[in-house]
Amino acid sequence: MKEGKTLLEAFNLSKTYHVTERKSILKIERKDIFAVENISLNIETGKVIGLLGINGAGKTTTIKMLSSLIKPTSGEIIFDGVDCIKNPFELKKNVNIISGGERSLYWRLSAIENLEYFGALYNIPKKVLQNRIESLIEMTDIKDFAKYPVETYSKGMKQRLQFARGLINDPKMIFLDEPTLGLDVPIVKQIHGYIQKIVREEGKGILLTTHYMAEVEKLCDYVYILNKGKVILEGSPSEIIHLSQLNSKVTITLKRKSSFKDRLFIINECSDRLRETPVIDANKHSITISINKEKISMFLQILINQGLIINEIEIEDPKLEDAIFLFSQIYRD
Amino acid sequence: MPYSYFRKFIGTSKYFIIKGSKLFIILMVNKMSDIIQIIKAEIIKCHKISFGEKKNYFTILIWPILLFFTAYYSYKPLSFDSEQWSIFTSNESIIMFLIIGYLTYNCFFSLVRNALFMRQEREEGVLEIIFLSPAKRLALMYGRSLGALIQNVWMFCIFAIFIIIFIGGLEMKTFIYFPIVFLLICVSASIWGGLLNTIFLFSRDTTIVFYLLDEPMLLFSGVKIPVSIFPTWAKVISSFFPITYVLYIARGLLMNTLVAKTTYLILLLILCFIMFITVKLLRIAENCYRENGNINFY
Repeated sequence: MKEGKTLLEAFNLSKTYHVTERKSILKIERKDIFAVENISLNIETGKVIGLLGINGAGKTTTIKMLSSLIKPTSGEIIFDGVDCIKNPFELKKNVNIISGGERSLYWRLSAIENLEYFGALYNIPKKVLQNRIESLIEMTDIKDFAKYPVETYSKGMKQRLQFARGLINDPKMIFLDEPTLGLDVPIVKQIHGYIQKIVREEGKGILLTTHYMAEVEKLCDYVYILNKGKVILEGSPSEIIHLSQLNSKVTITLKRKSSFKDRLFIINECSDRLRETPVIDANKHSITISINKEKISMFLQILINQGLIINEIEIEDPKLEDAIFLFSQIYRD
Repeated sequence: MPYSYFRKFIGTSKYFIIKGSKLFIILMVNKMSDIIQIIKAEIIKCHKISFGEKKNYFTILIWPILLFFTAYYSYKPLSFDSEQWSIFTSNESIIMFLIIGYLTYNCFFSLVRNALFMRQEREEGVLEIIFLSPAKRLALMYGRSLGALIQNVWMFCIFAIFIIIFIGGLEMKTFIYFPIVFLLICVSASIWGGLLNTIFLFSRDTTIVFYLLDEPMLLFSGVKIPVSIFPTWAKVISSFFPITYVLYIARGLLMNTLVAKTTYLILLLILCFIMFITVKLLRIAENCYRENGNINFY
């Protein structure tokens, strides 16, 4: 497994779109829209990097800049030591984009014909291309339908073919733009499997944008969070959750029903020492409290000191989704 | 001593020239094979998309044949005594004139149709994926043009049979000239198609380009009416279309009419100019796309 070598570095990338707005029949106003401002990021081999943010945060513009499709207004992109703004074709040879949805394929052509066409664009020798097509069709499990027109495929099959198309040039780096958009759970699992395979086994670098936080937690090694075209936060998913200082939900089930005195003691102690009030369900013998992970041991100590016997402990960690929501609220203005 | 140095210098120079030439040839061959691979892929793709169903081979013939008959029966009741109509010496010559006109026009039109297909690719997001690749842009544009090649070969064969049936046979000379005319039409039409494809990169609203270039081409280039009968202003318009000169040459070779040598030269110059414009526009289109950000909607 190849891992950790810097593949792409972007320094202070900015993109401003110049648009015109018609105010009246004769009057046209020119406006500058700052899509992305001073973004710096790093993509390594064998790692999945997440690029997150709400709609309009600048994710697609960033991906398009990094993949050479659009030119940044300012900044630098270095891929494998090459300046990609001056030499975009060097980057084009080594990257590909896989988008979610059913676009970016020729529906009247078969899977094989699609892959042959897109492979030819990268000037892959015929024999190498044939072998690669075979292995990609095998990997994405579309062998039985490989000769049928794409228009007859289900949504999941089209997405799997998209995946094969994105790997046709054996790119060193892949941009995944919401690759599991609108797919069923089994297909999503399959797509996650492909991503993990190409990252862990083939050492490719991946930049993933998605709105599914569970996907980010499962796949991403490092995450950049964008808001209004700026990176507001970066780190591993666990670091970001930690930074948010969100509480874990701890549920304790007791062996026997607690007395009124016990309950009063627990509420008072938790309020004084943990600064949190627990919810006690006397009928179910359970106590639920939302506290920082570091304070769990203190909470357990309170219960033990009162002579309560613990039957079960359930800890629900804070979700990345909650952390991102919290940060987007903080940086909203 | 100086002589030995001179010999050594010559020897070294020779070595580098030979090595350099070999390297240059290898590079050129590799570059050419890259371009050929892209053009081939485009031809296969365009053909498979246009002729997904076998019946399409026959349906594409209906429209030009109907146009041909419409023009032929419009001419039939007229007399062509005037000197301007000198090309129409007999009934067969009218048929030949119209067949060559429509055949050439259809070859050019098939490329317009292929260029129109780009709008669909833009909306489906495929164009963006194509532009993500390092494929040579010019090869892509000409590949698209040549995508109509198979269709043109098929049409040529059918029209040749048509000529033989209507005229009752062909001279040996005409048979020899036929492949030359075919090559001339294909090359000219592909260069024209390359320009159209490039123009269509600029906007998704291509209807205006179609009306500006296609309809005037049919009317003014002498497809169904000899350019010689046009008023001067119309002759000026016709002089801008390469098809006008292709038709002069094709009719000259197949109908034994006189073609001025300058016609060949003008056609060559126009084709070179179109290629030059295509290269420039292609660069502008890609830069525009890289600046504006979205090939799907700009």
